[in-house]
Amino acid sequence: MAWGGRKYDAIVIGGDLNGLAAAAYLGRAHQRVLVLEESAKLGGVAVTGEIMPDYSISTVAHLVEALPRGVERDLKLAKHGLRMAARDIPTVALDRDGKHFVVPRNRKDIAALAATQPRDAAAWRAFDKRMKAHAALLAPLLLADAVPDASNLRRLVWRAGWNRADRLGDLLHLLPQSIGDLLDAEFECPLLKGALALDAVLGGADGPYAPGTVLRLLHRMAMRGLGRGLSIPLGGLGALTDALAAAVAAQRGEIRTGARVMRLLVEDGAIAGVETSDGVAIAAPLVVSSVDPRLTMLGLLGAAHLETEEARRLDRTSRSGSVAKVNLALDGLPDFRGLAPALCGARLLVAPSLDVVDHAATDFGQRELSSEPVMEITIPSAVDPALAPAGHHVVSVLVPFMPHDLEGGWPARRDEFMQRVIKTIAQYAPDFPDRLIAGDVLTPPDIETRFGLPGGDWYRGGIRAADLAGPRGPATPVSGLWLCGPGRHPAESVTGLAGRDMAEAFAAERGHR
Amino acid sequence: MERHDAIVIGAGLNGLTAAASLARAGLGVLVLDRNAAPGGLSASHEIAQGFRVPRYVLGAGGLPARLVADLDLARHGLRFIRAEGGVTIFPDGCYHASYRDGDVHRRELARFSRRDADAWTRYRRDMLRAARALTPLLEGGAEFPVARGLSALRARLGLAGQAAAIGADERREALRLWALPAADFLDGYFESDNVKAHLAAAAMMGGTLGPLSPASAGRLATPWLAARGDAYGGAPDILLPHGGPAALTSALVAVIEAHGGRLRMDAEVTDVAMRDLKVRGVVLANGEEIGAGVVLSGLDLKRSFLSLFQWKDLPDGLVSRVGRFSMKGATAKVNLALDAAPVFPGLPEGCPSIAGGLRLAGSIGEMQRAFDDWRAHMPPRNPPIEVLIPSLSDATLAPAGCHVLSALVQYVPEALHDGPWNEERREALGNLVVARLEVASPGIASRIVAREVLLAADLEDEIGLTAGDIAHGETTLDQMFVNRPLPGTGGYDTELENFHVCSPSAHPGPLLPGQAGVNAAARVLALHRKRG
Repeated sequence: MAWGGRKYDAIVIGGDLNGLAAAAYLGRAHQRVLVLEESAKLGGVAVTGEIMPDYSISTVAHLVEALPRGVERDLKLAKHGLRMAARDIPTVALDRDGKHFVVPRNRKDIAALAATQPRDAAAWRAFDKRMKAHAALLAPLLLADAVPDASNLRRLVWRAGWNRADRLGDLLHLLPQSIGDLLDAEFECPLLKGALALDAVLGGADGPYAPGTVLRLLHRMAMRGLGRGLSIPLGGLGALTDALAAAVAAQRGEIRTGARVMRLLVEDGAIAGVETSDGVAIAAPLVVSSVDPRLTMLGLLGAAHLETEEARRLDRTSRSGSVAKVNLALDGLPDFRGLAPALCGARLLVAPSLDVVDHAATDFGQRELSSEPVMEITIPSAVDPALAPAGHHVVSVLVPFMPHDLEGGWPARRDEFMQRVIKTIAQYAPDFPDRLIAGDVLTPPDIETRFGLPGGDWYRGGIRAADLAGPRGPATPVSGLWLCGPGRHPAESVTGLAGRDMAEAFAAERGHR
Repeated sequence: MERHDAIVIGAGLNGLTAAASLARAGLGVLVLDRNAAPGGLSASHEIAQGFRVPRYVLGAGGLPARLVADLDLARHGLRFIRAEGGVTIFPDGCYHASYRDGDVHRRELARFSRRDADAWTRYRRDMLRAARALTPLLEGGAEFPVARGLSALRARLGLAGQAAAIGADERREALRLWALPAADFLDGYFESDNVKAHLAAAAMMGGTLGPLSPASAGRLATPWLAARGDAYGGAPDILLPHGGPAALTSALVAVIEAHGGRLRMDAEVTDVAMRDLKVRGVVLANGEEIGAGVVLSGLDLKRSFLSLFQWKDLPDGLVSRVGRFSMKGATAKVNLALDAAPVFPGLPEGCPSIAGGLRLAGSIGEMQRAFDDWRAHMPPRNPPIEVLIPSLSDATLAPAGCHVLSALVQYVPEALHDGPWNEERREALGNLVVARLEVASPGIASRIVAREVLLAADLEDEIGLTAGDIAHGETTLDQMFVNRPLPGTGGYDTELENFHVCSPSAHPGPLLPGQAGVNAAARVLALHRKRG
């Protein structure tokens, strides 16, 4: 082992969005940063790839869930080339008979809903207000990177104020509830209930009737509240990665791809640097890891540096993804019956009823493919024509409730899965199968191997009540080692937040010392 | 008009504990029940000449020790057996037993996995911690403020804080317990499928969650709640009444009568007399009116309000809020009269753990599939079954040498998706249970003298339990603690003056048998003292 020449103030392991954001924020705080990414490409699951030559698409993640104004401004992402093809895109609940509607965001949408579902439109106003109030009240608790303790709870009660005591009571009742039961009590329209339920449970293992799923919806709302709505970057999610990488470079940060870290170097209980796979040791007093905490702490650091309890807890955090991705190239815009052309760029949800979502979750529990998969579809080329040749389109499909350990194994059932997806979409857009040129399936095991994510667990949209109690925050027992990887920040799908909070926590600790 | 200080509707376990507490405090108590004998769910009925079966027998957890002491039941002739923790027999014939002695229990675990034997100490420690955090919350229900102001809520959260004045780590563990699926939680400790299935099967009985449902881990703590102070290092003991549920019932009746209280059986309450939202007494089916200073209902919440009152007399919105209280039946019962003692050749000779209940269960995956069947309104294909042999502790239930066996079948829906439960399906369920029993106890089928299949609907018809839900309402967190029975009402008071709910529909639900009644009585007495 040789110590490699230059010295850095900080090393970031993993060049995904969180790693890059952490590096950029550390750079802003005048730290000399080196980012080490194992694969040849930066960005983790936020990458743009090709289905076939000339047909580009966001390979895995396909939407920016929330990009906080503060992060956009701090890191000057616009200056570094980030343009949005569409901002604050609407969500459409697809209907087989063409009676689609937009999940209301404003008065106009409510009025549109009222035309077909007058009762639900009326109920929506109260429901939306109630949920938004709860999400706002809970946001500091759900989105902070510190575990809530008794004083947080007291503050919550205090914040609720005298006149809002009922709200707190209502919240205590709502949080453990299932989203299915709540929606059944509030609404009639199966389509609306299906869409709202899918929004809550997408990415998790629990169905809409599982206790505690209301919390997931509130968490989702709180996260989205930080940004300016769902967005599609021009050039796919890879463009967001590029902008962040440019932000790192602008702060004199250095990025190396194809650089695998073999272990962390510890001296006197403090981090001293990392050793890469080519045997070079790079010294730095600060190491930030955005890869899986279990991998970092047990694989790179080694259990010998940890308390037994801590090591055991990390060891039992097994992750298993539930979202598959299908990327499709088409020779024209699919004709979703009854869908206004302006809404082709929207987020299209295939979740016709609560029962369908529930069945998908039950099938998932039995390690089976659901007979009627639920989906989240975007057609990015509708808002960003450069992704495909003129007139042609690319379609991006997220399929939740897909087991990692499928009965019979994925290799034998890939085609069956693809056929089910196409068949289900064809129920809404009959010309879909005929327009298909090429397609690509990424199952949870594929994502695991291609992106090095344990269990293929890539979708960072949800939180379980149990996660609230889990370890949180970037600090570790080893001085100088920080984590901003999966499961460490409750708002991971909010771009840059985990990185920013990590840098802030670091600055606070240094200031303290 | 006859008049009493307090009337308790329903002579089930909680009605009796409430009445006993009130009587001991000097109130004149009258207990009314529409059945011929007291005991509610634990009253027995005859299934064949000379064979009697209690409808329901205390399962995991047994009676809370503190309740026994508080009501001075020992002085009224009740003796207890500390039963060891239960056995599970798996489809392949192998078994897993729980023992109270730590060393014996660890040896038992080591048969499946050495690592699991090592993990036991950790599991036990965490369970005892969880129970310690929870027990004051469950026992202290009477202090739950009922006012709806912020100070009340603050006090509630404060109470939660007090209960968890045992470090943030433990509180976090408790939250994990109430949020995680049982399967995930157990994965954190054990590797053997049999060990996990054994613990999960006991926890899932009587509930409406599957082992993979979030929050189902909370039920794992139930047997530990009553286990304070046991120092043997193994699985928790179960406190069972000597002489079976009938002995418990008669001891409670003896307490009530010794303190001047009275029971009237065959007296069905059809109406609660009320003026200006103030309850003044009850009306019986024969038209007789009995006045009372306070009325406690031992019926489930839905029945308490929806069948005892004229809906138009109730406050606005109450009927619909009560209507939304979720009660789901998930348990059926198959009772067998046997002409010989059932033998389980797979178990070691004289295994003491049978006293704590015998379960027939497959893997956690199979349990979850049975749960999925239940949710899809299908008869479960491979349900977990709890086998109790009440005649082992109460010889009067069967003729000499004979026995009654009672099998609780979990995840049996109250209604089926494709038509009603008919005679044929009922028998199919009975056959399924007998076939499963036959695997564990070969030859048992030929010893059956009589058989009876009781579905959720039967429980509803016979005992009046809505939907046949033996838990008196789902025990998910949205219906527990401050949310039980109704969010915003909390505790034992209702929007009607002098009317209280003392059934497990109120806090703490079925988690501590008999506790709801004691807590409700304490609340009534506190109000009584305040008024002077």
